Order: sequence, then structure tokens, then C-alpha cells
Amino acid sequence: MIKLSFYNLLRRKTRTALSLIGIVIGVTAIMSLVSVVDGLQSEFDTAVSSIQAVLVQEKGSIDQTISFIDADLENDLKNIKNVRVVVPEVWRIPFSVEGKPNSLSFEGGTLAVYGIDLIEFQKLRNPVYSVNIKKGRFVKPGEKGAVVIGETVADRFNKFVGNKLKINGESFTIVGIYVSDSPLFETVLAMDIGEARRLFEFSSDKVSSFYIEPIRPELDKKVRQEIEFRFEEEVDARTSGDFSDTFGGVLGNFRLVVFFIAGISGLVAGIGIINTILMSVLERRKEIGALKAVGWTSFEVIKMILYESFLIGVLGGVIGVIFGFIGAFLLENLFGLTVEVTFLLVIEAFLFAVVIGVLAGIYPAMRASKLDPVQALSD
Amino acid sequence: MNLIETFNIKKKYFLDKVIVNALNGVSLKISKGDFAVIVGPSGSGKSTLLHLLGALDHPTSGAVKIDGKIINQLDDDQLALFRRNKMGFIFQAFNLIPSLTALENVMIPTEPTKEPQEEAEERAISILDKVGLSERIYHKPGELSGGQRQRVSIARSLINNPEIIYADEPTGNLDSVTGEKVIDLMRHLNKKEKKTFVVVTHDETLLKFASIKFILKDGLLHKIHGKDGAKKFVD
Repeated sequence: MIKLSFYNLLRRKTRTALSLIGIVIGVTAIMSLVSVVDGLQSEFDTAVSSIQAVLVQEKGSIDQTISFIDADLENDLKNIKNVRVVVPEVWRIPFSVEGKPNSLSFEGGTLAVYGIDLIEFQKLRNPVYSVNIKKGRFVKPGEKGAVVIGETVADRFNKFVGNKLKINGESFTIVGIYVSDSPLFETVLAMDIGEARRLFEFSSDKVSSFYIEPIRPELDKKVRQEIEFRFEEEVDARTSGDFSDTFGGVLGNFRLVVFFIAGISGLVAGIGIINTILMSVLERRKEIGALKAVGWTSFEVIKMILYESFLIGVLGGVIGVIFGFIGAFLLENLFGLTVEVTFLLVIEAFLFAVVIGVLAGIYPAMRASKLDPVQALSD
Repeated sequence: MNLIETFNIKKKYFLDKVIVNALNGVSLKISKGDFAVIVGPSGSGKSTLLHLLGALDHPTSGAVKIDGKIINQLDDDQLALFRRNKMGFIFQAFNLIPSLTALENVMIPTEPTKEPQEEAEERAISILDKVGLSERIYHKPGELSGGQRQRVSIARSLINNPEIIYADEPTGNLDSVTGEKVIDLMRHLNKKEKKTFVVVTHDETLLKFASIKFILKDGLLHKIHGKDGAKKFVD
């Protein structure tokens, strides 16, 4: 019967092709757009999986660059059980880099200045930025006028070790260039905490945050609980896993929204399919009447029509997935976005097309099955 | 034995807001192996009667008994299965599916059955051979003449090996020579394969092929005796 349904579609090639285009656009849109969200998610996962630490910042602040807490807390935190190292940090967003407004200076994201207490930082087992130095060296404790930047930033501004980088109008010498697993981390301009304080007129008895390394990585949750218990009023403590979960949750919602928006074109395509199939049912009244006369039950007529719309869905799904791969590839190569086409995404986009196809067939199929053979034949 | 029997069937339907009495109490008996021809002018209720005999429609009152079974009480799906197993249909407009070959068209009634494709195909080929279309099995309806198309539809009516074949104006779309050939084929199948045929037509010349003849006028059926056609029917 599926062969018959296939022939029926071939009988009206133009109309079938037009309904296919609709569904292909929907699937392509879903695949290419969601692949960007998935790309972001996987990039973030890679980034946070390299850290196993607890981050302490001001209660209620969304991130470190607007957080403001007492520097005195350092000693209290050091005394917490299982804490190995506490690194005071100053994080701020400069308003300009290389004379351009920060938000426009770098398409990879907003650049942030990261002022580090380097004496404590050097005690870390896994100091994220220093271990991945590609060229030059890391900043030394108390070093003035020195900055370490990420490779993508260096490439963007065409900078090498020894060049100057202007931050908020002040020149810093690039002493090192680091690489990271994730471009998300490469937007950081690292310098001595004293220099960051001076640059942003940041009070010396305050910090933005503390980066805490537990004695063993798996103790991060225990440390977090202890900090939350003792300093509940003042700070938020989060493990890298928490960040991943929060960000993942946000991205999950975002993914759903993107899926939905891209899916709207698919829904429109579905209405197109309803129209196509309904028209063809009405045109084939006599034929369907004859099928019923020769002994086809209503269910069999429904099956034939549903196969037709199912086939449109499958065909649209397959073509859409192919175009989706092309779309994702173009987004990556023309716009420099990180994309990830997961197997799950391919399945989701394909099933979306099939479900739309089958759903669109239901109404025309019911109409066809209700055709009275006597009436259909005598028209 | 009466294969087809009706008891005082009446059929009324609405045409817009007017009640049309298509059949006003028709009783008939057709035996196994008959070649029944029912003639009548257009509007006499021929097609309505054929639809009732062919289990396509329910009478307003009265009963239709086919092969010992009163079919009034069957629902639509049961009727479909009944038609599939017991009867074949030949239509004036052939009602073939244009995208399918002659062979595929003949196999259409077997599509919903569980019969293996190969068996059905084998049977369809032999039936197409019987109706003289062995050279044309892979042609589509558009590539066949009117007579050939009607032969395909005859072959289709035979595929499930039914006992009864109903034909509604089978020669209506054909010229007289071709039409006669088609009737000859039906008559041949009637004699050789012992199929019961019920033909409704406005063409009285077909009466000469009949083993049992009726005329339908104003919703009433009259049996015709003798060989001299419809003119001298006896009630």
C-alpha cells in the first residue's frame, strides 16, 4: 500500500515538491539553529569540566564582574575544612580595549579583566590560565603593567608577546598568550590583582570573588556546603558543576525556544500538507469511492492517505537533515559560530518532520474515509 | 438457488429538500449463474438498485439477501469485507487509478488482504490474459483504449474470485462494436467461470445477452419474459 501512496504523491509532483519545501525549511531551520545552542552547551561543558573548584562571590550577584565582597573573608575561608588554597580575585569589565568600546571590540564576547592574587594562585594544583601558556610566560606576583591574554584575543588584535594592549586607555605589555579548551575562557585578560585594583579604583579591602581549591577535587560540594552554612548572609558559593547545571538549564530552555521558533515554519508546512492532501482527496473522490466499492474498509483508506502524508514527512525529514548539516556547516564556517550536530538533534529534527507529516494527514484521511462510495461514484 | 434476493425494497432520498422515491418496492430473485440485465431509462432508479444489490447502500425499507445473508444489518466495514469477498464491480467510467499499470489496477482489491503479493500478481496476470490483455499488463490506463480500460476493470472485478459481478452501464463510454465485445467477454466469463452477472443499463440491446431480464420504470421492477425485448414485459 505504501507503494500506491508513493505513486499518488508522484502524480502531483509540483504540489508534493511544494509541501516538501515547507517541511524541509522547518527541519533545516531546527537543525542549524539548535546546532548552535548545542555547540554552546558542549563548549561550556568542556570549559567547566576542566575546573573542580568552588567559587565564592557576593550574595545575589549574577557573576563575578559585578560582585563585591570583603577581602577579610580570605582567612575565614582558609580555615574551612578541606580547603587547600583560597585565591582572591578582582573581576571587572573594562569599558574600552584598544580604544574601542569593549562590547564592540571582540566578536567572541565581552572581554573581562581578571586580577589575581598571584602568590596564592601559584599554589593551585590546576591554575587554569597559567598551565596553558602558549607563548611567553604568566604574570609574576606584583608585576606592574603586564597582562596575559587569550590566543583568540591576540589573533583578533594581531598582537604578539612584547606588544602593548590598551585597556581603559592604559597600555599594558603582553607578557604571555594562553590557550584554552574553550573560547569562552579566552576572553579573560589576566593581570596582578594590584594592577586590576588600580585600573578600576577597586578598594583594597574588597575583592570580587574567591577561587577555592579543595584538598581533593571531589570534595568541592562539601566545601560549598560548609561555606554556605557559615557565610549564608554574605556570599553565594558555587561549584563548577553548579555552573554547568545552571547554564545547562538556561540553555535547555533556550534550546526549546529556538526549537519552537524554528518549528513554526514546520507547523506552517504542516498546514500546507493538509491542504495538498485534502485537495488531492477531493480530486480523487471517484477513485476512493471505487476503492471502497471493491472492498476497501474505511481504515484502509485512512492508511493509504496517512502513508502519503507520512512519506512527505519522511522525505522532508531526510532532505531537511541533509540541508541542516549544510546549514550548520555554513554557520560554523561563514559566521565562526561553534556548532554541534548531535545524533539526538538529527533524530529530533527528523521525527519532527515525520510527526508533522502524519498529523497533517489525519484530517484529510478522515475526510476520505467518510466518503460515501455511492455518492462519490455518482458524482 | 437464489443468490440474490430482495424483498419489497424501497429507497427514498433527499434531493435538496425534495424527497425522491427512487425505488418503490422492488422484489427480485437472481440465481447463481444468471446473466441478469436490468434496463430502464435514466432516472428510473437503476443505479440505486445496483448500489443496494451491491451492498454499497442500505434500503430505506425492505431487505436485501445475498448468498443467504441479509445484509441490511451489516455496518460499513462489514459491508466492505462482504463486497471484497463476494462481489466485483464494473463501472461506466472504469474508475481505474491513472498512475498504476493495468496489472497494479487489477491487484488493487487484493491490497488490503493478507495474500502474498506474488500470488496475487500471478493471478492478476492470468486474469488479464483471460480478458485478452496479456500484451498490455504494464500499460497505464492513459495508454489504453476505452475497450481495453473496461477489460482492465473487468479483470479487477474478478481478482478476488467473487461470485457476483455488478456492472453499471459497462458499455456506456464505449462505441457499439467495442461495447459488444466487452459484453461478449462478460458472457463468456458467465458461462465458463460460472460467475453471476448483474448488468444495469439504459441500452435495451443488451437484453439479448441476458438469461434473466428486468425493466425498471418509476421505481418499480418488472420481469420480462420471452425474447422480444422490453416492449412486451409482463408484470
